[in-house]
Amino acid sequence: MMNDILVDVRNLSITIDTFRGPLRVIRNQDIMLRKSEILGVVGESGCGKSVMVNSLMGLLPEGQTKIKSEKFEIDGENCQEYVEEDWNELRGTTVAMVFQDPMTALNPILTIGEQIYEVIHRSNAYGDDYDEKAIALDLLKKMGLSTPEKRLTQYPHELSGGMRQRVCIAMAVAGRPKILICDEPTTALDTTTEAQILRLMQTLAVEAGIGIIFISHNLRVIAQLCDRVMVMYAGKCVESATVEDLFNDPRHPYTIGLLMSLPQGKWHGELTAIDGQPPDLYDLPRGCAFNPRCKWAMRICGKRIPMVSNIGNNHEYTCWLAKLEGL
Amino acid sequence: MARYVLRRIGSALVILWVIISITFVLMHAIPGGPFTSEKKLPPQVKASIEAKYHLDDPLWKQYTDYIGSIVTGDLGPSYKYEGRSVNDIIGEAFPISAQLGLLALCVAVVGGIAAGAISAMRPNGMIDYAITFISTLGISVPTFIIGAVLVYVVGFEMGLLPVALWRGPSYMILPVLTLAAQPMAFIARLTRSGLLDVYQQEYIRTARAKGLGSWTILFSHALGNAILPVITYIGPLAAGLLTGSFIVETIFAIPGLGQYFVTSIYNRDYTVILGVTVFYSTLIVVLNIIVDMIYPIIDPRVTTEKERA
Repeated sequence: MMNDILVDVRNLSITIDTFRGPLRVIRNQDIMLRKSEILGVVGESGCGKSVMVNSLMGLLPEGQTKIKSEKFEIDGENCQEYVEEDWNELRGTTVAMVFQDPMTALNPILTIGEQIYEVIHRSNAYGDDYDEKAIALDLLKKMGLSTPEKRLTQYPHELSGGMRQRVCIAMAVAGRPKILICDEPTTALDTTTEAQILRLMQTLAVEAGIGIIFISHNLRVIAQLCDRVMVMYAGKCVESATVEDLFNDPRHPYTIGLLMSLPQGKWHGELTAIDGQPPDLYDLPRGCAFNPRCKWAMRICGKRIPMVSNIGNNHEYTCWLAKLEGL
Repeated sequence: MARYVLRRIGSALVILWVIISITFVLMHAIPGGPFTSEKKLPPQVKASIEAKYHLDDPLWKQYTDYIGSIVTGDLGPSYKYEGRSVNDIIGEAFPISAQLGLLALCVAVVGGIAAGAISAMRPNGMIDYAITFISTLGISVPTFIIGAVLVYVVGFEMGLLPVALWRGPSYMILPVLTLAAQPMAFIARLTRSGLLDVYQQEYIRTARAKGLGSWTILFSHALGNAILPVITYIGPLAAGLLTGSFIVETIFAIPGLGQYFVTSIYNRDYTVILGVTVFYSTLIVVLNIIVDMIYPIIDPRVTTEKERA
């Protein structure tokens, strides 16, 4: 089922030029997304989640970033040599994005309608003869927005945060994308609204077959929504598994630390935090990047980068402890 | 909206009244009068002239008379230009100043926004540096020097354009450029910084993520947000340009209103001073009201007070 694969990126490395020199934000990372799949990406702030997904749309600042990969395919197209114009073709139609803060993601001087129509005009999913208003109304209705007719002529500041995020999602799916990237879309919203938005995402994946990459640092949200999860630490995925496997059988010490810092759930005992600070990407620890904070760190952890171990059902993690278990 | 405009007009009338009163008092506080000259007039002659123009009345009566005639739209006779009323002078000179000013305003706004936008498209590129250099020059070099240089280089050395008078399109180019230079440079700077700020905003990233081209992003997403400070600046600028610049009108010998205004002060031509002041102030107040009404059209977040309630 090759054509089920929407994103197939192998060995992705992203380097950003900064005043302090080149910064390797993503290190040898694979990304794989299938149709109808919701892939969760978790990790602390600054671990490279956003950079990674932005690279899937070519949204990283040109000139300041170097992207290297063995394979970089989106919807079967090789994007390694893409320039701005090629990305523009892709954006909004194949890959769309929903941003974190709906309060600032909409243009304050354009009406909701105008901002949705733009995407409809660009898309070729509707043929030559279409009614932009009807399409937009239908979208807003699907997003569960009340009185959609009124919303079309309103400006963003007249809507609440939850309504705006629904508009943002409507806007993102208006181009009938195959891939939807959501960069912490519910972080700025209250819990009730969050639940509604998450349900919406699930519907999109199931009914429209959209593959969703969902970034969050909220494990509770990930557990509710996603099929598979990638746990990222210092620019690299340390563990990836199905939601069930990850929450029932976490293997990487960082994942375990994250789960133990949840106030409820299976791993809840005494609430514990992960000691230490996220690493300085300019000066990564030798060996495993997590070793200075790891409770079970061994001598080898500070010397050599661990290999990936697969324990079946595509449950992969990158830790020397796997060796102890004979994997 | 209508109530808002009415309220604004009401407060504008109060402002105008205050301006008239202050000007009236200041004017009479300056030593000398319209008929004081180096050659002393015989006292009887002076007295009879002053009687003719009611300058011998007590000040409060002159004041109330003046206010009375302004209400009827009569700005009185000029003391220096015999047989001409202030209304005549404004009617004759203002169209010229307004023509010059409107052209300069268009050049400044269109040129300034275009230059600023080009600058902001590639910040810190060669073109940006060139535009920044020229606009800094434009802001800091005084108008009379720009005018003099243009007259000398384009008019004299190259002999391309006429350097004086106001007789047709070719006569307009140099004075319009001179008058537009400074505001154009300023608008270019405002637009550039506005755009650079807007390009950092999340909604521009959203627009990019939608796959919109850079021109669409500039025109339909960025520019409207970026020129809000420019709009604020255009109000007083328009008033300043329309009422004529004394300097530009003098350099290019243009018979506009600006010249009359300045010379009337030397001449103690009371009615012209007051008349032109009233006219200017009205223009400025009206233009400010217009700008305030344009604001909500461009930025929907700004509403007039009534709508907000």
